[in-house]
Amino acid sequence: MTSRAYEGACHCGAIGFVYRTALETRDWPIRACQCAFCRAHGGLTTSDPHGSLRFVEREPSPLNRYRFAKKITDFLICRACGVYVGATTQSAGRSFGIVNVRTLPSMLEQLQPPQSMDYGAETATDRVGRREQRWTPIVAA
Amino acid sequence: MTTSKKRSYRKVGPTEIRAKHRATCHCGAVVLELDLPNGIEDPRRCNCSLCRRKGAVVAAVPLSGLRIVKGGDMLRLYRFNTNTARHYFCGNCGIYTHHQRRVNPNEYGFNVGCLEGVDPFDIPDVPTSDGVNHPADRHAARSSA
Repeated sequence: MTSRAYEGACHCGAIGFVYRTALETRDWPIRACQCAFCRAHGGLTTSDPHGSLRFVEREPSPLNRYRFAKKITDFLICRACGVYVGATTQSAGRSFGIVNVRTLPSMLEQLQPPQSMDYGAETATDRVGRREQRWTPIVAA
Repeated sequence: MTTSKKRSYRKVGPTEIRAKHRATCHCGAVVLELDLPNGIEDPRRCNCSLCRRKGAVVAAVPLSGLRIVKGGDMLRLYRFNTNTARHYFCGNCGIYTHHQRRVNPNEYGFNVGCLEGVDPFDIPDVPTSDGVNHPADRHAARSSA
């Protein structure tokens, strides 16, 4: 299968990503996490453990890395327009990420309905393990 | 033009909407107090270029019906396109809290997901406003035609 690159960005364009996956858009897993952060941001996320992901900062200052709760994840938010573009985490020297598909607005209608997800009962170890299985490896520019 | 009956919600899931209801961002830096004597009126999504990326469910109050209790200095302002609407979000956690509306600058829209105890997923069938073809643009197009 050949992979395609999908480029998402915040509203003002200061931060974004290049997400490569061989999955057809209709097969992307779409997750609506029910934590307070994701609900208030309206986050809908996807990932592909066989794909690759690179976040792009067109201007360094607007990238806000927000951490909360277990503080093992950077939630990437634009300081200028407030849009949540995705998240990254580290495990055993490797980085993994997800993207908020709302930053690919022209594609939203092609995606499957979101699955409601509740990760509230996970331990930090469970969480890292799940992300190693599901999240997209981060690659360097 | 189609019209739909406006809906209001005095209870969402287990949460009663109080006449004065607090709203917070995620990190708690920003706290608002909203006057909601009739509950949450006419909650909507919007498909404009910003709201599509934010995905919030929004309802409105008069300007006098929103007070910043805490964190006014944490709020960041974003404006685009005609620069009329004023979109505010928390500078720490990024959560959109409220905006002064372009369609009616005498009102604030606010993020229903920020109301204490309210899960916007508990509101059934939230309609979507056509923010791509903004009412103010449609009016301008008619005026100039």
